[in-house]
Amino acid sequence: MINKEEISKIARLSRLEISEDSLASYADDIDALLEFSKINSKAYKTEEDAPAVSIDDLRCDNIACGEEVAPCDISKDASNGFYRIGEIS
Amino acid sequence: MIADINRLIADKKASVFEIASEYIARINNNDHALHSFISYNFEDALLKAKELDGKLQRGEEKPLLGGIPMSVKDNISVKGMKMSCASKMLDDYYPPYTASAVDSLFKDGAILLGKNNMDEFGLGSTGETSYYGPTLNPLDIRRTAGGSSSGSACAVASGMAVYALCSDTGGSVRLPASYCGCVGFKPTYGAVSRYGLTAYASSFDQIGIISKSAEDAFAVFDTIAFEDPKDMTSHSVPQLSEFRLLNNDLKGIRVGVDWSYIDIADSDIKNAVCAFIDILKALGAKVSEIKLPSCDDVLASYYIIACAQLASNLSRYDGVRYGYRNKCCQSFDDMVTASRSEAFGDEVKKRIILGNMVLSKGYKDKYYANAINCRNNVIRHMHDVFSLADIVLTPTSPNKVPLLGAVRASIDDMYRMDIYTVLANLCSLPAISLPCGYDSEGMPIGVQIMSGEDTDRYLLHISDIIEKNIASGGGIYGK
Repeated sequence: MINKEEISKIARLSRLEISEDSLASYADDIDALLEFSKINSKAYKTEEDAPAVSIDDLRCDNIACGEEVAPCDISKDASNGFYRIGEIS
Repeated sequence: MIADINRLIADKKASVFEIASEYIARINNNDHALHSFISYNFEDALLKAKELDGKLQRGEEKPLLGGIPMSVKDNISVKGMKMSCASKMLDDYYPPYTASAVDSLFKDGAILLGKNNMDEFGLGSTGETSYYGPTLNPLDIRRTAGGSSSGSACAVASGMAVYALCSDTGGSVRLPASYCGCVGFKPTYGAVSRYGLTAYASSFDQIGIISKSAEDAFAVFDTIAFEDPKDMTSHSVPQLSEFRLLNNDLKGIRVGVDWSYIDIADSDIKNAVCAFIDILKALGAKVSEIKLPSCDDVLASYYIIACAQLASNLSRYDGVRYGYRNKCCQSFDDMVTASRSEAFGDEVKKRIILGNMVLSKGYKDKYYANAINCRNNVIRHMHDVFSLADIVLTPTSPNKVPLLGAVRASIDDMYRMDIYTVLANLCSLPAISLPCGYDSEGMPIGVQIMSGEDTDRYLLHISDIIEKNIASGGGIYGK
């Protein structure tokens, strides 16, 4: 169960201020979301089957730039990354 | 619909200006009640229509989409037109450039009528999180139009636009299309450039189309699908000629169905989808049972990754570079926190907090890393599925069109609305929602068809054949 202090701390780190009145309802909703977001199947947890991908792995400078993959041509490998396209997109 | 308008123009029964004027009149008459648009572009639309009429009079050839009135979701950039993403944060933001997809339509002479209402930053499935208020369903104004492309579906369904360009991160094109009785097409990830689309979850976001028919969606897709140097994830997808063309039936097409997916839907939806499967069989398709990934895990994985990417993407809204700024604060830090807190709605804040939480120490392994593992497995699973089936069929929504306010009361209900649609986003697959019947309350039901990566044109071809066969048989399209 997420408590109000924890929500308040992550909200501050997210540069958001949640009023004292709203904290309880935020905690309830986020708790429900976390409960909802639990992945139950053990089949998805095997390292060999599914190597973990971290954000660091997806940075452009960590993608191989050899003959097969041109610099920044990461269309196939980039599906989990964060990209800023254009000014605001 | 596009072919009908083109015929009117070719036969000189109506000018482009008259057609644009008719659509503007419809918006003026209906939109105050439906809230489908956030901003209008009437003056420019009429000017462009007049210019195109002049070109046609001089004997110039009209491109397929030239003179066709359309609308754009308010999270896609059009230079000089307000783009709010239905958020107070961007209430006075005017982008300095036009999205590549919109630009390609403009080059074809498309007539932009305005920007459509939506859930704030695309976060929602009912259109109710918009800063400007909810869009109402034109078929029953007590009900939602779906989301997040609520205004786009409403505009097309109510005849205020021929088609709408919108975005789909977890079902935002298909769900509202289903609730409003339209066709909603989400292309393969990267088939349409995202340049100019406001980012929500960058590895899921895709520009899509809501229209009245698969034929119209095909025409629009053909124009907006190309490899764009401004979006390194974009790529070209095969032309229809590279596939085995069908001859007005579905002979040889393998349809995969996972009955456990259909079983969890409302009984009216289940019946409509089963009747639709019978139609496919009658058209010669071979229907067989397949096993799709656990829909609960797919949904959980989607929400964790989407919220994590959202938290990252929305960190740029700090009151410095874009959008709303609180002008009363004494320090920089206070200004950033106050601007974000005052300008983002509750749903956005909750998902940002959740996103940062699943990325934080103590939660990352349990949630985020697990979700990424799950996604990789689901992608592999679907790759195997498409070696057994050409298309996979599910309902578009597990529930009937909800009444306004009914879903927001329950977090679980709200997120479960996307249970069928997120799979295509998670795996970068093309997917289309087609109307397949009506529920006991007279509201439309949608069926979702997915196909393998980059088979967009084949999926649209199959959908077109299904639609035309149902229409000629006096089915739901005749209603």
